[in-house]
Amino acid sequence: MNTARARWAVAAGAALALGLTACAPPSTDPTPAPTAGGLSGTLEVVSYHPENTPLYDRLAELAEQFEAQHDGLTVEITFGGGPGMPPIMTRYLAGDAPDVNPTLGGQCPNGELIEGGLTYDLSDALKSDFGDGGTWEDAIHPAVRSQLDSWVDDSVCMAPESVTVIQFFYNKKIFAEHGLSVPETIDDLIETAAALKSAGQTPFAVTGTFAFYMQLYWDYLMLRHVGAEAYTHAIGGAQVTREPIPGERPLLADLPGVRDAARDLERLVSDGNILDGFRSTDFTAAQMSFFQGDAAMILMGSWLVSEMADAIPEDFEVGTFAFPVATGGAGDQATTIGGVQGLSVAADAKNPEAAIEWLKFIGQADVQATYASEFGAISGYKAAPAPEGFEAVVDMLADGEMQMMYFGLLGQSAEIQAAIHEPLTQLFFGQIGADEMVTQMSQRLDAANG
Amino acid sequence: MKTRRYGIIDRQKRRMLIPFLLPALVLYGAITLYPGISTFYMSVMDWGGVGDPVFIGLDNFTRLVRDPTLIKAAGNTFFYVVVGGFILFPLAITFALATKSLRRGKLYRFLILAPIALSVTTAALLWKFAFNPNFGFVGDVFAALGLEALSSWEWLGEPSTALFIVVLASVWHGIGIWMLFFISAIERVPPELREAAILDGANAFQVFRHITFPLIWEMTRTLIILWIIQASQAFGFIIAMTNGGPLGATEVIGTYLYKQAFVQFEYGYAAAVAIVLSLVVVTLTVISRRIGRRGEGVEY
Repeated sequence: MNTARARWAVAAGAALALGLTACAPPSTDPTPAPTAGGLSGTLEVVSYHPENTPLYDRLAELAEQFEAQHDGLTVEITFGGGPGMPPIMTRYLAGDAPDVNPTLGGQCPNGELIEGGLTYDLSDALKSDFGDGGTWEDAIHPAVRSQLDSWVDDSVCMAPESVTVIQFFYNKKIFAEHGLSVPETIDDLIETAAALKSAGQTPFAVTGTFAFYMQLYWDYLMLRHVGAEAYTHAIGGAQVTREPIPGERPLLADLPGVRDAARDLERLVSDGNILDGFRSTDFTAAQMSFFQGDAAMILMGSWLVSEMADAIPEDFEVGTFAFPVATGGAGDQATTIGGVQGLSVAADAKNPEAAIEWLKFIGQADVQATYASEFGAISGYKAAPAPEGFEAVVDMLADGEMQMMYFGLLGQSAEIQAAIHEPLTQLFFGQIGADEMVTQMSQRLDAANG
Repeated sequence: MKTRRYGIIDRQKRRMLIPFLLPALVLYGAITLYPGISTFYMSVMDWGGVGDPVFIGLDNFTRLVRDPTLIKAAGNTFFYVVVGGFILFPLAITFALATKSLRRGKLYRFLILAPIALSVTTAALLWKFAFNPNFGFVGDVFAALGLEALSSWEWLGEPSTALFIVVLASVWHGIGIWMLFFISAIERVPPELREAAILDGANAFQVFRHITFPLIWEMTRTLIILWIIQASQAFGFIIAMTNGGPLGATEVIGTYLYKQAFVQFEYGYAAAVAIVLSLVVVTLTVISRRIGRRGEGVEY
């Protein structure tokens, strides 16, 4: 980025912020519910997916259906994924936010947007009728509902579109050829990897260019060996939990089970267990390698199949299994890491009535059922069926808890992210061992948390 | 001190200038002065994009000094400028001279210039795919040459080689323009000087060393400064090829600044980084001008 552009961006942001603070002081009061009435005008909806992708096309089709239900309403779709995200953020700051914006990684929009009063509080709307005799809130899975609250105040910052869970995807044909069954424990997984490797088959496809995806392995191992609360506390995660964790923040290196987690990670990712060239392979290429049979397994979100729909060979048989348990581990063995893919409404939405109706429309049983059947999406709503292979996940949503994806690291400072990611990447790259990784993470987290 | 007294006509002439200068001054103020001043203002604030900026004095600047990622990014930026310059300038001059004397020189010029027609993203992806250890053709070429160790090398995945490959890609993409600059400079050198040197028995290298190079030095010096400014702001190739990785090996000040502003939403800190980047560019430019003056150009 050149300096002139940086100056422009910062200067524009400064001017906008001053304007915002002068003209529209942030309010912590819930945003008033929109008045009833017919929908008209324009509704702007942000898509994370670019044009000519299956998920963009799905959104365009839904937009047409919604327009057909509401004469006089036009739905405009704006690209806001990847490089499109900074402009969306700038529009929020400028008071020109799109009406509906998807949230990332199961987290509410940027906490400062909520603090700044720029995100619509859906508390009242969730109590409204959902068209099936109950309220909107009643229609949502309990484990999903708990993820919709903002962590900076009492507002509800998003409504669910779908749920993602992180799990292993495996190539059924490869497993069958080598007489392998789905591993249930981490030791089983390591043995499965060894068996595949000795047969000349690479066990895992991983991207080395996106640390958050490498972090998924570490997060699960910490969840199984250490437990979510202790790990979150050691990260300094009071900022990403709604209630402060009592007691003094522990050092990561002092957590019981942390070295077991690190050693298991080293066993999993060393000795050629990962696809050649993974260090410079981005996640799309890694996913492609898995579907081309170059690797037998990939740890990824449940969005994988829908994201890669156009690239999956017709005869490819994909199977899934939960991250294995740590035998004797002190952590949570049954919890799944995942997140809610939500939709938020801008506080200064130009068409809030239509925006809220759009969120409800997305949650309707038929829309969700099509999403599940055509894209394998897991719904956040009780009425939608579970896609094939995800029945157990849906049962868990009805009963249990879900651990936030990346343990909230997306919302943490660059220093805290680097404290986890850099030693982790070094271990994946074979530059340091398990004990050194834990020591480095612990020291850097301590420094980053002051 | 003697001051000049302006007459009525002079004063009227000066007043007449104001309306003509005003549009340019307004534009300059709006697109250069105001953002510049705002950046200074923002650099002493803590601001996440929403709410009131909080004055924190020089905290952002003291943080810069202790920020290991920024220090690494500054080192990488320096590497980009120096190594890129040492590759770019000799090659551009060589191409300019060679295409001038070779048959079908214009065709070669066109071929060398052609990559500039590609967008930075497209060019970066081409290089990224070429160096992919699984399906890139570079590995196949090394394998065909019997260089097995190099054929499986992760050029963009190894911290020791990633930045060098990005520099090569960037030079490949832009070298055509620099070649054109040198062609225009070389064509301004009076041919009779070269002919006289040749008649005196000078070989091609001696003609270049003692005639051509001194006469294009002024242009070269300006181009070096331009390169320093451009390379210090490197961004596009790095974002598209490595996004600053692996392990920060290709993080430069430009990409770090972008991430601070638009990924971390730390606008105050990003503004402080922007100011440091500006100072780095100015410092490098001054140093290169000082060094460049030691060999003053020859007038002709």
